[in-house]
Formats: sequence, structure tokens, C-alpha cells
Amino acid sequence: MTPETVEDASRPTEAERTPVRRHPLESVLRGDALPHIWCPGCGIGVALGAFLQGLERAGIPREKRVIVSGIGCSSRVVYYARTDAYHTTHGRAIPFATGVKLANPSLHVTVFAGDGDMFAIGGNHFIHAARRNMDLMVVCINNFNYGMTGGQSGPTTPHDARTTTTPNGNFEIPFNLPQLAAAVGAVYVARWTTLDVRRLRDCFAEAAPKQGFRFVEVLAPCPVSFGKNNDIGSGLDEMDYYRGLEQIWGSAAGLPAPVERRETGDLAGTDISLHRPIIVGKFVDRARPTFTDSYAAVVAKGRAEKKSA
Amino acid sequence: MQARFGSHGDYAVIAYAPSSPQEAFDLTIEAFSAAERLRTPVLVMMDEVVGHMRERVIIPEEGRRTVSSRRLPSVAPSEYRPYRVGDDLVPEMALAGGGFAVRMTGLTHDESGRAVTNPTAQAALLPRLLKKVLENREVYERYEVRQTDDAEVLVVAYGITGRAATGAVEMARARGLRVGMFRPRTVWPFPADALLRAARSARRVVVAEINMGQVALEVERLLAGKCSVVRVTSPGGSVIAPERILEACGRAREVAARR
Repeated sequence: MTPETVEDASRPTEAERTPVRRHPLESVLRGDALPHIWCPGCGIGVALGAFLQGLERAGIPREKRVIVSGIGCSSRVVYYARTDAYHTTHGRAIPFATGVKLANPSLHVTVFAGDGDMFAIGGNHFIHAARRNMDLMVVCINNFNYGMTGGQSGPTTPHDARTTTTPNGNFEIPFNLPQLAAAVGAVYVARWTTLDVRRLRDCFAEAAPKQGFRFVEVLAPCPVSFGKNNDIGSGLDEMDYYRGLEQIWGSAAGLPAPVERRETGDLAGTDISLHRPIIVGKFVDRARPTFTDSYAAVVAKGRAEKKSA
Repeated sequence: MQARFGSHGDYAVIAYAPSSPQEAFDLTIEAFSAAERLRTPVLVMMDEVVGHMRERVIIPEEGRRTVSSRRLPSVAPSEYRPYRVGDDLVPEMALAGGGFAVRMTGLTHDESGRAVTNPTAQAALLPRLLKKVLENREVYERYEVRQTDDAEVLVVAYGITGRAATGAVEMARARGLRVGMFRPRTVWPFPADALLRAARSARRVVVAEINMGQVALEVERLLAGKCSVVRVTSPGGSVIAPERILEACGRAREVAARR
């Protein structure tokens, strides 16, 4: 060996000088898609992280996972998750996911979309998929406005909240998403904020292996639009806002326990209003026949009758 | 027209227009084949009459229907790119759950399915999406031609109006008028060459359709002044009667004779 080589070997190489920080979710994220498009302080990435951790924890086989989304900031999660991922048209993620599930019932299908995509453009798909108890885990990132297009008001914008299209305050009454989901037949309904990272992860882990229509609402900051227009401030300030207002359903606050039966699915009092308590938690956890099971039963019955005829 | 211009951007899809319940059944099977083969949406467009019609339909036995399938990946998952174009303009398409971790999107994308919204990516993507349909158009063009060999007047009609046109042709022939018919069953891509062949001996073309003239625009464009086009239109609400088409054939003939 020449002295020069010895000298070279004693120095860290270019690769060694570059610090390698492995992302804990590297194996389930797509490195080639990063950096993501979300704004600083946005809550969608937190929700995606909790979702991926939840599925890992639930032991859902990776090759069986399918994510379907629509259009909007929240729908961009499909680009970052290393799984079968379909970015479909505006509001149509649920029908697309229904097709995926029916074509191959062994798949674990999750729908990810924002409040506008899922409840304005695709609202009808949501209520009918829940009514039919379609085997889907449906995640709505609710940031109370249309973030990607400039902060317009949407179906979940709280009353009196300011958006770019309601500069004097929203005079419409918003949907209460868990109440809607419970009323139309969802078997699992929960709401958390992106402040509740671990609870959210556990919620996904609990909902993922269940059958039927499961709905998880995730309240997420949109500091550049909703937060700014409503004097909430940065993403961190909105987390602080959640911390001050959150109350967990069924906790010491004296709120009822999760609904086990549809007849008692009354979630009155969980409406979201500006600067009013935000009720989070698991609201509904019940079982009823799923679409996939009912469909398989009808097919089996038909086949049996054909055979005996 | 809705199938062709329903968006401000460009696209090419296949659209079928059946004239009967049997054809609706047959073309729906073809539509699945075309969609699988070309990886594109396919429309089966029934007008109100065909949509409400009850007629005998012969359903072939299971196993006798053939539906083409998409081309599945020929490479390992690590090598697979959902939008990589090989010797064919249509990329191979993996099934969900096959371990391929496919990423598919409606946004402008690169071959791996990443959203790349810039003019360069768009310039690479859009022409291919058009080409894959247009270069294969003859495979998917369906049409009916009736008594065109010696026709002086050619009637062009589709959907339920195609059946009225069939009646008009029969009535015309019974009166010794040389009238033929061209009925596109694929309305987009419009079977251009087939129309020009059918219109070879025609001096006048009558286009009958239940609207104020949509496919007539395409026919006029294709004939490019070779012979004049008479429109039989209707604002809707009822079927165009064969007599109206026959009358238009007569008028067209008179106009042709005066020249």
C-alpha cells in the first residue's frame, strides 16, 4: 500500500460524511416520492404516519393492503405509502374501492380522502357504502375547508368560521361526520385529532382488522388556509387549540360510552363549533352483516339451488 | 359528442351506440374487452328508447363469451413500473394484491406513477394516450352497412334511429329508390374509412339523429364537400319516424337531380 492510500483510508468517505437518518417507516413509505407536497404545519402526514403504524401493529399483510383516494391534499397519501395505491377521480374513491374489494375480497382496502372530496363531491357514495356495510376502512382528514384550491368553505366548515368564500363567517350548518356515519350504518366510528398521535395509531390498529364499514375522522390543521383565516395561527398553534378543547367521549367528562347498537346511535352533542369543546374518541363499535358476507351467501344459495334443480 | 368532448382536455375513449337490447348486451362484453386491452374507459351509450326497450336477447352459454384481459406484468415486482411503455402503447397492468405495490393515478405521471405535473411530462403522456386508441381504432370499429353498393343516397344513423333508417331504406327500395344505410355502432372513434367506402356511390347523404345535429358534424367533416349532407334532426321526445327519413331521402335526391 502506498502512503497516499493509507491516508485516504483514514478519512471518512463521501458516503460516510453524509449522515444517514433512517425513517422509522421507511419500509412502508416510498422514498422516491418524497418530499411530500403538504404545507408546513399540515396534519395529513401525521395521520398517514399513524395509519401506517396502525396497520403494522394490526399485522395486516403488506401485500394485501390497498389504499384508494380521490382528489385533494388528503388524497395525496397514495403517493407516499408503499402499497397498492390508486389515486382516482374527485369524490369517487369509495366506489373505486368498492370495486377493488368485490373483485378480490381478500384485500384490505382503505379509503383516504378529505372532507370536501368525501362529503361534498362524493357524499352520496359515502352514505350508501355505509348503508351497505361495505368492507372498507374509510379515513376522512377533516381540515374544515378546501385547502388545495385556496381555502374555500366546504361541508364541514364550522358555523361562523371564516374561509376565502365566507369572509364574513360561514352561515351554513356543517355535517357532523361521526353522527352522519353512525346514522347511516357504519359499524365503527371514531374521531381523533392529529394531536392524538398514539390514540390515532391505536384506533387504526383496532379498526383495521374489523369487518364492514369503518369510519375514522381525523381533525387536522390547515394553517395556511383555515388556521390563518380564523386567527388560530400556525399548525402548532392549532395543536394547542385542540389540546385546550379536546374531551374524550366516555371519559371522566361524563359522556356516554361507545354505542354498541344502532338504535342508540345518537351522537348529538359531538358537533364541532369554533372555540367550543371538541369531542373525540370511539363513538360506535358494533357488528352487523357485511356486504361481502351477504353477497357471498346469496351466491352460495343460488349455486346450491341450481345444483339441486 | 359527450363521449368525445366532455372535458376541456384531450382524450380518446371508445364509445358504442347499440340499436337493440341484443346489441347492448354484445357491445357491453366488447366494451369490457376494449377497456381491458387498451386500459381506457369505454362507454356504452344507449339512447332513451334502447335503454327502455324490451326484446328477446340471446345470452351465449358461459364459456362461449370471450372477454380479452389486460396484459399482466411480465417482470418481477421490483422491476415493474405501472406506466412503462414497451412494444405496445398500452403498459402492462398489475392486479391489486399481487405484491407489485402499484401506484396508479389520474394526474399527469411518470412511468412509476409519480405525479409529475409539468409540461414535459404532459407532452410525453398525452399523445400516447390518444395514440393507443387511435392507432388501434380499426380493431374496435363496429358498423352496419346496408345496400350501399349502388346507393345514390346514403342514410347515416345510430342507436334507435338506426332502426328507423333501416325501415326508411326498405321503403325507399320498394319504391325503386337507390338508398343505402351506414350505421356506426362505434361512434367514437368514428369509423371514417368505412363511412367513405359506404358513401362511394352516394350523391347525397342524410344524417338522422335525435338532437339538433352532432354526428352530422363529423359526417360533414369526413365527406369534406364530396357530396352534400342533409340533416334530419329532432329536439327529442320521440323517435324519428322512418317516413321522415324517407322524405329527406327524396328531397336529397331531388336536390341531386337538379344539379
